[in-house]
Amino acid sequence: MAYYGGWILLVVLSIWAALIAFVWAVRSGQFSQQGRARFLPLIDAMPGQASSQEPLPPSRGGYVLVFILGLGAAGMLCAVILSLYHL
Amino acid sequence: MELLREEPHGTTKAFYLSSAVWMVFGTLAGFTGAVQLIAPELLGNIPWIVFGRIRPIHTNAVIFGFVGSALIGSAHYLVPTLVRTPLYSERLGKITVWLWNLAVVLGTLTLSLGFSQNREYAEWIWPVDVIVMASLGLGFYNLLQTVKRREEEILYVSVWYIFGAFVFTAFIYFFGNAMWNPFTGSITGIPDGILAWFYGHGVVGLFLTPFAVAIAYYIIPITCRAPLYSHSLSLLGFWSLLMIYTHIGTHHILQAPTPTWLKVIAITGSIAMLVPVAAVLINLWLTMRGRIPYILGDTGGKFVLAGTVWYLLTCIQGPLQALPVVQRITHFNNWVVAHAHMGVLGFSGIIALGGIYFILPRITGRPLHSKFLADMQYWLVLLGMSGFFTVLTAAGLIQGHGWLNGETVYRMLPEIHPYMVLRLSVGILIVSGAFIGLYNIYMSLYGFKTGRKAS
Ligand code: HEM
Ligand code: HEM
Repeated sequence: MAYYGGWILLVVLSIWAALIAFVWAVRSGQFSQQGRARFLPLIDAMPGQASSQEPLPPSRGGYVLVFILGLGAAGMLCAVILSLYHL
Repeated sequence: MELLREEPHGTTKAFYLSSAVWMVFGTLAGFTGAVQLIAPELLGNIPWIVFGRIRPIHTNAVIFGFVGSALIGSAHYLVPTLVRTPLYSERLGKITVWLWNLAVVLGTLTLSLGFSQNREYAEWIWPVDVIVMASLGLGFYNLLQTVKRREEEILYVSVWYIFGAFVFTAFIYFFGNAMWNPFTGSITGIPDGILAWFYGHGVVGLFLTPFAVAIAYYIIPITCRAPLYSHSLSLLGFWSLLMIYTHIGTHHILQAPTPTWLKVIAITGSIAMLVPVAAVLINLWLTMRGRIPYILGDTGGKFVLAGTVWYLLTCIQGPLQALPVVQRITHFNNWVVAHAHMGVLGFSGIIALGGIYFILPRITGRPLHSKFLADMQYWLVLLGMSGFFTVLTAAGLIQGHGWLNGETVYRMLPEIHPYMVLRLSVGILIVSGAFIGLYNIYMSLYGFKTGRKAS
C-alpha cells in the first residue's frame, strides 16, 4: 500500500502538467491559424531546391517499402493463425 | 574551453557525431550478444561482456546513445528553426551534449563492471540517472528559453512533440527509476514490475516516438514540397498520444499477477493507440500523396519515409500482441525482440538517421560528404532490419508454438539455432551501415578541414 502515495503524486503531477500546457495553448491562440500552421516548415526549404512544378523523378525504391509492408503483414497473419490454432 | 566552444549549431553537430559513434559501439555490442546466443563459450566468459552485461550495454547504448543523441540533436535544430529564433545558448547545449555522453559512457562502464538496477532500460545506476536527468533538464530549459524569445507565435506540431518528449521523459525517468531509492532504483513486489513497465514502454513511446514523429512532421512537408495535410489533426494526434500512451505499460506483464483492471486498461489502451498512430500516418501520407518520388529522391526524406513504414508495422503489431490470446504465442520469445528492433531501429532509429542526413547540409552549409555512402547505409540498414524482422519473427513463432505444444525451453533451443546464426549474419549489414554512417557523418562535419573536397 505504501506505494500508492507516490503513484497518486505521479498521476496528479502529470495531469496538472498536461492541463497547464493545454490551457496555455488555448489562451495563447495555439489552436487558431491552423491553416497557416501547415506551411510553417516550408520556410526552411534549401535555396536552390527544386520547386513543386518540376516533373517527379522516377524511383523504384517505393516498391521495396511495399514489399516490407507485405512481409510484416505475413508475419502478423502467421501469429494470428497460430494463436487461433492453439485456442 | 574547446569542449564548450560556441559555434552556430554546435549542439546539433556534437549530438550527431555522438550518435554516429554510439551506433557503431551499440551495434557491435549487439553483435557480441548475438555471438553468445550461438556459441556461449566462444568468448570464454570474459566477465565484463557476459550476456547478462552485454545485453543491457547494447540496449542502452542504442536507445540513449545512438537514437537518443540523434533525436535530441535534431530537436536542437528544429525548435529554433520553427520558432525563427536562434538557440538560447549554444554553450548550454554543449553542456547538455557532454552530460548526455557522460551518462552513456558511465552507464556502459558500470554495467560492464556488474552494477545494474536490473530493470529493463532502467539498468543504469543512480549516479548515471542523475546525469541523465540533468542533461534532460538543461535541454528543456535551453529550448524553453528559445521558445520564450520566439518570432513565430504559432508552435508547429513538431515543437509540441519535442516539448512533450522532454517533459514525459523526465517524468517517466524519475519515477520509473525510483530515483528516491538510490540504492536499489526500485520499489518492491508486483508494484515494481508495474512501475518498471510503465517506464519501459514510456522509453519507447514517450521518449523515442514523439521525437521521431516531430522529425517526420518537419521533413516530410519540405521534401515533398507541400504543406502539412492538416495541422489540427496533428495536434489531435499529439494530445491523444499523451492521454493513451501513458498508461498502457502493463501490456508487457499481462502474464504476471497484476490487477485485472490494470490489464484491461492496458489492453484497451493498446488498441486505442491506433488513434494517435493513425492521426500521424494518415496526415503524413495525405501530405505526400502523389509526391513520394520527391521524398525518395532526397537522402534524409528517404530514411524518414522508410521509418514511417516501420512505424505502421510496429503499431499494428503492438495492439495485436497486446491481446492475451495472441500473446500466448508471442510473449517471452524472439517475436518481441523482432518488434523491439522494428520500433527502435526500423522506426525511430531510421528516422533519427533521416534527421541527421537532412539537417547536416543545412547546418554545415555544404552538401553531405557522400550521398552515395548515405544511400548505401540506407540500404544496409533497411535490408538488415527486414532480415531481423523475418528471422526473429520466425524464430519467435517456432518457440511460441513449441512451448504451447508442451515442449520445454531447452528442447526448443536447437530448433532456433539456425535462426540465431542468420540473425548474426544479417546483423553484419547493420554493423557495416553503422561504420559507414560514422565515416560519412564525421567527414560531412569536419572533412573539409582536412582538405577533402565534399562530393
Ligand atoms: C542500431 C541498431 C539496433 C537497435 C536500435 C537495437 C535495439 C535493441 C533492443 C531495443 C533490444 C531489446 C529487445 C527486447 O528486449 O525485446 C535489443 C536486443 C538485442 N539486440 Fe539489438 N539493436 C540494434 C542492432 C543490433 C545488431 C546489429 C545486433 C547483432 C546482430 C543486435 C543484437 C541484439 C541481441 C542479441 C539482443 C538480445 C536479444 C535477446 O535477449 O534475446 N542488435 N536490441
Ligand atoms: C501502438 C503502439 C504499440 C503497442 C500497442 C505496442 C505493444 C507492445 C507490447 C504488448 C509489447 C510486449 C510484448 C510481450 O512482451 O509479449 C511490446 C514490446 C515492446 N515494444 Fe511495443 N508497442 C507499440 C509501439 C512500439 C514502438 C513505436 C516502439 C519503439 C519505438 C516499441 C518498442 C517496444 C519494445 C522495445 C518492446 C520490448 C520490450 C521488452 O524488452 O520486453 N513499441 N510492445
